Amino acid sequence: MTRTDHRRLIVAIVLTAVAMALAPEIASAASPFGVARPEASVAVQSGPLAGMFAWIAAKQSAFYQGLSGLVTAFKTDGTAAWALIGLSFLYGLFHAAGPGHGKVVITSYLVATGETLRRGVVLAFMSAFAQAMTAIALVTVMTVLLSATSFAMTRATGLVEIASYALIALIGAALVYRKGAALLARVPVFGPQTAAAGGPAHGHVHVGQAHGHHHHDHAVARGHVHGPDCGHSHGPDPADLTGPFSLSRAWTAVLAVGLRPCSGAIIVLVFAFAQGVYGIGIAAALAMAAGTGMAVGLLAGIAVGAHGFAARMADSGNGWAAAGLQAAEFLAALAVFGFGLLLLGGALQGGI
Amino acid sequence: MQLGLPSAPATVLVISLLLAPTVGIAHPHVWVDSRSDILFNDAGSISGIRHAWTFDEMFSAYAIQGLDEDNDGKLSREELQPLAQVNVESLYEYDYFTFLGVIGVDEIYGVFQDPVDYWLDYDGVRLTLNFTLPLTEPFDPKQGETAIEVYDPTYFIDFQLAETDTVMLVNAPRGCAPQFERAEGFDPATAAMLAQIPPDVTDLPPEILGLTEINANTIRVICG
Repeated sequence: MTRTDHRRLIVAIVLTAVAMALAPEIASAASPFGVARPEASVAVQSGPLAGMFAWIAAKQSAFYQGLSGLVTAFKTDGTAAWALIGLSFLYGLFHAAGPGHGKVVITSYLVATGETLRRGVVLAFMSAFAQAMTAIALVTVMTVLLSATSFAMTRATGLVEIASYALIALIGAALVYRKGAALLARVPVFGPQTAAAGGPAHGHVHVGQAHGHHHHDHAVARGHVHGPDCGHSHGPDPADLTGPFSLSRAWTAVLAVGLRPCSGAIIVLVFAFAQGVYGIGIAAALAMAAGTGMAVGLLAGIAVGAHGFAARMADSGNGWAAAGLQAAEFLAALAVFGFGLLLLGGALQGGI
Repeated sequence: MQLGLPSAPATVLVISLLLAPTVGIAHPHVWVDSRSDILFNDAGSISGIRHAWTFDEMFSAYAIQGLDEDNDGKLSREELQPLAQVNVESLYEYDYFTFLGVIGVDEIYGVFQDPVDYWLDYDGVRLTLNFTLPLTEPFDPKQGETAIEVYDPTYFIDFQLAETDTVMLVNAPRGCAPQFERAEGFDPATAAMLAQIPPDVTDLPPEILGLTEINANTIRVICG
């Protein structure tokens, strides 16, 4: 890419940050019929890609509607299982391809932390499967074991959702602290030594892999920053690159995103149980997770690639690029924090 | 946001795709077949609307879980009543997804009171929510091109007008007749058109949003 392209990247990031700041509040998540929680969303659509997202939404909707027929068919025809699993996979894939908060958070997280491609993809799949497991656990306990009502189920989902958002905000706060310190270290007054500039602090950045939670919350997606160009990765700690995957760190992110179950998966599970074929419901939920993990893993790869590009710019001795990378990582950290707070606020406002 | 990206590298395009303010279209998790009776008073004005909304099979199964208190495998109206209550109370925040007004005149619209006469029926597969929305003030259908719209702007619920018994005028004066148009759905062209609506449209009263919304089911009440 040329330097001009690079500038465009920066402009895109700045505009994104502005758009994020101006973004409308996320609609409260109260449920229209008092049961089943809608995802946070904004009512008005804009942007040049509105048509594409509309198409994705329509596909996803069609797949979802097909699921009920296949669950019913499975009762008399075992071969319907394959169609059901295939359709669930597609549903998960398209679900994750739409705009969503989870993807935003994960992508931003990856940009900020500079995970590698492989780790990003692993995170994408782990968080998607964590989401499926949350849904399966909830339905197994609430519906299968306790015969709970849909009111109780909706409250339980709400509580889990709030925990998820709170955790996202916490992770964001921690990242902001780390990245902010790294950024300050760049300023001579604050920096203990200029060497800090390279920023070990932000780890290497390969850009983000978003892991996937599928966010169903579309909407939020508007501004997240994961900037492509943020990363600078030069010089990460060698230990970081070759060392063992930081499981504890990754698990927090997986948990944060994976805690929030997908309403679609929950409804399919309850429906399958009501039809006396709970097992196939579980298979469908796992297939959805596989689809979601794949879509978000792809996004993660793109983000990692962009980040790597920026990192090479920074490595090429361009101090300005290195600073930009650091700033972008900081912005990404802010994005994780900000979305966590927004989502949490919306969920609390919507009531439990 | 319009970044004017066509000439920029693919990376930028993809990233901006991720960053762009996105379509707020949630995808639906609930499908409803809607039937509506338009109620008239003796003076020939609309006094309220009685809806019968039939939910899809999956949402029905989700909603009724745990409600069969006597375990007889059937759901009586009494067993369903707590759910009906939660349903109608929760709908308040969404203006009951029902908008009454005069087409093209933002200032004239009907205001609904809390629902009355609400209950649920379960036919073994699907739930139907019945409820009546009284108007605070009767609405004279002759004051303009009167229309009732039923839709969810956030698209969590996909409302369709039912195939049969879609609309009925009850106690309407002679010469009044209903007409209806189904929502077309969010095809890409429509969505692109919607994309041109400035964001501050969300700040308008939902009644106005309703009458300008393209993806709405529209019931016209024509009194000649």
